[in-house]
Amino acid sequence: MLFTSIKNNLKLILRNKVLIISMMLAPVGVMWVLSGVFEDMLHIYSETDTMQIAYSVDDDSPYKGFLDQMKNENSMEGIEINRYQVDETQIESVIKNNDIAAFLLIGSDSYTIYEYNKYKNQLGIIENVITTMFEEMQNISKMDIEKKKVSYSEIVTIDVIPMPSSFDYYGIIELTYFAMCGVVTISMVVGSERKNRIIRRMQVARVSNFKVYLAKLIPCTLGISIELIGAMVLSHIIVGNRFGNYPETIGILFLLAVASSAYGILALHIVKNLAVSVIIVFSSVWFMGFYGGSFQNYMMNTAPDIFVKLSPMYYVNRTLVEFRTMGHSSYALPAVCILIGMIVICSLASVLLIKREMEE
Amino acid sequence: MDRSKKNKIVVLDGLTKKYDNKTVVDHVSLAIEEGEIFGLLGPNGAGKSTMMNMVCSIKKPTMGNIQLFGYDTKKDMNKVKAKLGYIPQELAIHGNLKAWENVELFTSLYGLKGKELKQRVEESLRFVGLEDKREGFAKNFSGGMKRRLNIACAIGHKPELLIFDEPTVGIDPQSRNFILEKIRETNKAGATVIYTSHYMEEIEAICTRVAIMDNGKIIAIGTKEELVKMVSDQPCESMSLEKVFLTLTGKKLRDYTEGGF
Repeated sequence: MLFTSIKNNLKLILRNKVLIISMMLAPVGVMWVLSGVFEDMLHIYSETDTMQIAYSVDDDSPYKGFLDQMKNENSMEGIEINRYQVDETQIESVIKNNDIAAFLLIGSDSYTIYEYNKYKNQLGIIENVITTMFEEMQNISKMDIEKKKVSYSEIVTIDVIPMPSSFDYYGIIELTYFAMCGVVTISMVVGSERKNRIIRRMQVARVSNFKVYLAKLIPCTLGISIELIGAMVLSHIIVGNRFGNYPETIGILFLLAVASSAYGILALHIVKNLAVSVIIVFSSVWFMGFYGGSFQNYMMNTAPDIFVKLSPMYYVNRTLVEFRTMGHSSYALPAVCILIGMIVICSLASVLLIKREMEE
Repeated sequence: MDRSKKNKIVVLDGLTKKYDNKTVVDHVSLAIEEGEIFGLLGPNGAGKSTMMNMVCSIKKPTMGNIQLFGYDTKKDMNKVKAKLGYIPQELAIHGNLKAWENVELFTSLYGLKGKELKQRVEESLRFVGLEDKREGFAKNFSGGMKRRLNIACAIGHKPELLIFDEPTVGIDPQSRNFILEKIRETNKAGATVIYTSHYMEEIEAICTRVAIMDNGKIIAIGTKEELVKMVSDQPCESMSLEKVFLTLTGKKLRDYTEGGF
């Protein structure tokens, strides 16, 4: 029964080509608009958190000129550079007293970065900046390479969180938004069942409530997965959106598709009206996104931290963005846990509601 | 036919269904024997569909007991479900599935799979004369074809008791005649049939015994001859079932709304 039901329910979903194509094109359209409109906002947010980098360099160092120039021109966006003439023992107190994110001690043939843990999440950007800076200096100094040699020893390893491009960022955000709205996909099955009162056939037959649930969950998940793959390919072609760490990204997106299906099915069983269920799910997903910090807006900033962190979007978006920018993410495990929790809770509630419906 | 020697397939005892203060089925007791085509006749809102829904376990009775094949449905409904086929009054088919896919889906609900399922699907489609329309989408079918498909979806698992709830509503005479022929054929093959309708001529044509229901109660039950005798001394042949029905239920119009009055 289960295989036949899954197969036929999947056919009901896939035969609605307008819906499938809409669910592929809609996120691409929205990400195209948002990434253009909010491109500057990403820079604004990076600039609001200006960080300080300090450096100590001897007057006779070949790098002094470059660093002083960078300091004077204040050329790096969102980063303020200052020179301190201190020895190694004073660095820690200088960092803490002046709220410096990173201190760069430049020797004759090496440099050391001292990090301030308070800025752990931003230090990746600094490392990128410093690395770029030294690469630049090294490139220039190649003219005199026989005399000067730069080695990158003693760099303290820190988490790297480079800024994603607006296309990548909003591409990821919009795909997760639309993936969470799986209620639209499963409404093709539930709508037909309700319209034709199919439940009576299930009531008369010997069908387990759990199988009835799985016969919706599995095709819905497959339907959302197909929509997601289509949207990913289209967004890559149209706006150049890219994901990172594909195996793990696909894993998270698949879990998201299952969670979204479970959430959609639950909504459809709580609210009997199809249109109202779709509106409720769309609204709740938008709230999850706003409170989950997709746009770093006032809703997230004013909401209590615990409330923000209850949003699955908080973890999923950050995980996928960090997969894109760093290849790994500390949010991945919480994202997996919250999605599995969502699947379990929604599934249990749905099976109970199906049982109640089957018993009249 | 000696009824006392036949197995009682359906036994209803004091079956009652209430919605708020309205009693839709009121202490109905009857027995249907193996091999019968039992007609349930009544005006709109008489409680026929509600009663059949309770027999099929779609609705729970407020009071009373149902025995199917000797099993108490409150305790052992799962033991009899595979023997039961229900053809609902409203079409219960997916418009966006092909004919064979609809039959496959609903036949599979009874645990059939693989080759056996495939074979039963083809048999069911052939039985209702839709074998050459198997690839057609149900949404594109005519009213009569949809009704036949509705039947095919309920017979794939070869039920021993078939409940037809007004299966000929809104279709042309050819389709109606075809369906009635098929019901007779099913009965000859061994299935017991309960047939609810308010079309007198259909009931008269195919049923071996008839119960007339009004306001949730069985007001008369028996063969046509027995029913005629209840209302008149005229010979059975000279009186139609419609006349018997109108004599028993009256001529007052029945305005009825589903789910509440």
